[in-house]
Amino acid sequence: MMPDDRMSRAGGSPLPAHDCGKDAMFFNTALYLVFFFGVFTLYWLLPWARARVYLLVGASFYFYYSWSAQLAFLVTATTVMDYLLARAMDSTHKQRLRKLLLLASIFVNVGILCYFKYMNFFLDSLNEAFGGVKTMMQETGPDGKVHIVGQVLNGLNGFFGSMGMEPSFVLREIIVPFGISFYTFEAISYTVDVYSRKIKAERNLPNFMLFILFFPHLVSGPIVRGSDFLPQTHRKKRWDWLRMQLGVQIFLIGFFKKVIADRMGLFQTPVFDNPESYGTGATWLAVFAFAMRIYCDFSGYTDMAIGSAHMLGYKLKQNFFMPYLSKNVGEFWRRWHISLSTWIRDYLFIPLGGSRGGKWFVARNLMITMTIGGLWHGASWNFIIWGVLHGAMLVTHRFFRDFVVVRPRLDGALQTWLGTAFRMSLTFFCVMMCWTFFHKGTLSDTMTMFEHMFTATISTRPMDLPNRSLWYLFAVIVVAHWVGSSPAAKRLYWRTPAPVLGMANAALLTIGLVLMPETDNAFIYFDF
Amino acid sequence: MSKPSSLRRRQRRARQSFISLAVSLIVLHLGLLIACEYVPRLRDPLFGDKQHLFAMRCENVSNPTVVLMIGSSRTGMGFHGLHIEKVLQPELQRPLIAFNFGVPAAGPMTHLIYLRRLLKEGQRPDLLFVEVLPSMFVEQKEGPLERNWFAADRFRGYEFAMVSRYGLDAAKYAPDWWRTFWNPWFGLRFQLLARIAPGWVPWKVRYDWGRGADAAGWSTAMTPTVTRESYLRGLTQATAEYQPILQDLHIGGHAVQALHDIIAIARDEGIPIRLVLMPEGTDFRRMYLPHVQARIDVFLKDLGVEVIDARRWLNDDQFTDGHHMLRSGAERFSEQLGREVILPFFKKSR
Repeated sequence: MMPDDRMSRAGGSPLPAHDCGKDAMFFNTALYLVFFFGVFTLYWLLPWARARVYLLVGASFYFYYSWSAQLAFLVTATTVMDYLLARAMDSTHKQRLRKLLLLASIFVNVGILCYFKYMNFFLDSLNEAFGGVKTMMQETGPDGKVHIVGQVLNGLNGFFGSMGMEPSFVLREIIVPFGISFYTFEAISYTVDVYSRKIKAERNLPNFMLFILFFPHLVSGPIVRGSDFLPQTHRKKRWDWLRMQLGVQIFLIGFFKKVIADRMGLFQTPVFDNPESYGTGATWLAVFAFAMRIYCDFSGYTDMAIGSAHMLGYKLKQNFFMPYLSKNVGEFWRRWHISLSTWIRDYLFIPLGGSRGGKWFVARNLMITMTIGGLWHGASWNFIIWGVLHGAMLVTHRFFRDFVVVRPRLDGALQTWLGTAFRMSLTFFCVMMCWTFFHKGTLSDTMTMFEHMFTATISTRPMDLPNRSLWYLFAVIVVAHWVGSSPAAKRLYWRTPAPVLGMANAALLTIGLVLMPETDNAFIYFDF
Repeated sequence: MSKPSSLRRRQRRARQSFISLAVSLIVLHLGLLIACEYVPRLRDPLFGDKQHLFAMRCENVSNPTVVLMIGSSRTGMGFHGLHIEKVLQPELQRPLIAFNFGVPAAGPMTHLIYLRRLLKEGQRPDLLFVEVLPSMFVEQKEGPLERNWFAADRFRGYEFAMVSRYGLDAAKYAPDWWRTFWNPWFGLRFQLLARIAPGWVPWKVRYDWGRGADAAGWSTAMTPTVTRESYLRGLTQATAEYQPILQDLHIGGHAVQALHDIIAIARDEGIPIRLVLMPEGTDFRRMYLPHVQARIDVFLKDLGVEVIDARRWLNDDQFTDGHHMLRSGAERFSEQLGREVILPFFKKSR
């Protein structure tokens, strides 16, 4: 198989935007706007509700197809399979058969996820455990050029060879379908809900396909539930100016967040790519910039997805609620990537026993849940450690909470504004430190960064930009959080004359366009 | 069932704000496009900043004699107009303006466009110097070497169409240019942002080089002095950039045509023109092998214009990297150019 530069590769290594397809439609590109405008116009011109659903299914398929034709068919095929399995599950009362169908659905979905996302990671880790080295395999293609087609795991070969076996383990350049983690979770939640009779199986195939393939949420969520989305596919959509305005507003906010994220990347990327070249100050700054970037990037994407969906008459659930204002890690996970945290709560943590048990039992469940949550983000040790650290922080918080409950004076002190500020700062600091693991680099890069953060090191390479712009943008984030949480700001919004509001939106868009940096950055969460 | 009045009011408000957004965007878009036509600094600050300075100088001096030098960053850091004016003014006994129009990475195509723009604005010099950077005239099938630094967004539509005739792959650069038309706030964002907040723009996409120039367009080197180490570092970088081209330089192609056209325009306009080979350090000059040097000599001779070969005018310690001058180098080069070329020219023409 030829390495396809359109997609992110197995091993969870996110690729920059230019490695994606030429026609890749990131929400912050002109190509997406053209695509969306076309779909939007046609959608609202069509007088038939069914035709609108067909249009959205077709557009969503094209959206994915523009990245990879083969994988668009794969996603479609698994969607049809889930539809049929759920229908079969719904039509029978035989519990064993229902269970079998559920397991088949989970097996295929998780199997595909594991194959594409985790197989190379698993083989690579196994090989490293046996001390092997990778050797590139090359072959001459029809174009006469030499291509790398895979990597032989000499370590495993040597290990098995010593036992008289001659295996041929090869790491292939597997292409990870964009958003596979998202739509796999959506499909699993749907079949589980049908199995547990929380919802009825969708009878209409296009509606079901729209639920999984709907382009605003297809590649990076929010992870939608059948119970939320499927009823919307049956409702007749009417043009609504209020909804359009809301959609545009949310989309613009998301776009501006993405711009901030990309600008934060100017401070973060050089350091994360070459940690050995940067000293203590630059590394701290980069880690801080990354915390800002990942929030603005992912919540920006989500806002653009929610805005796009609104303009087409669909409502997606809120995925972020000012997570950096959380006062503890538990609260952070109720505010950060809400659709994922509720998913793993409902389909992993609770089935494991949840909080119904002793504190060590709950701690075990939290650790398992968060470790799998970490692995969900990417196939690398960095993400696993990130998940383990969050699990450990959640456990610590639970223990500390139990400790504080019986100490009213300490509890009272923590509830004061100073105590609250301390808790917020500590939570942010812990989350920020964990983000250091949350990147495509190696574990040794992360360790180098920690070493540089906690020992006085001098940079051997200057930063491209002075720090000032980072702090200005941070101030913008702080003000936006204040505005977002202030009832007075909401009142002001509703009192602002419509023309002024329109002009403010135009100004926001224009400022965002001017501030966009040179690099064409993909959304970070496209890789998960 | 009719909608409640508050809902109707909200719907109306939403529609109005939507219309206002669309109208505002159109106004902003058209406003910038129109402004770009009248304020060159918006689209091409590298040109616009210098043109503004040039116009200011010409306005403040009555009936001046104008010497203009067009070139690359070598010219930008080397042609010290104010120093030339100080040295020559007493002897010329009439107002003199010596202006530096050196712009980083500019080659014959850019020189040609800049000359056309200046003439269109009525900014006509009495003596024109044009830098000849031999590597820019390398014949390559991909097009003129200048393509490597060519930024389509800096040029107007007809200018872009014009440079396309000089071997530039127009299809490659056209999307960049059209972006400045369909989405000018995005397409021209580095130009705009570098003007408002230069610290927000990485060096490689800064277009505000001309802002640091003195009143005569001269820009000093980043460092006032260089150590042996930093000189060698700069020289190593320069060698890496130039040697692959200079080791077997074949002169030809569209860049040569552009230079011919510059000469033709100057002749048509009656502007005396001189070509200048800018000073280079000993180590830099070693990159010109004898057979390459012979080709350059033939090329320059065939142009039929007086060429000032200033390559050996300075010592090595007057460069930052073997070809960009320090202040001391710029002063010496400019003084020698003034005394040996400019002064005799004007004395003769008087």
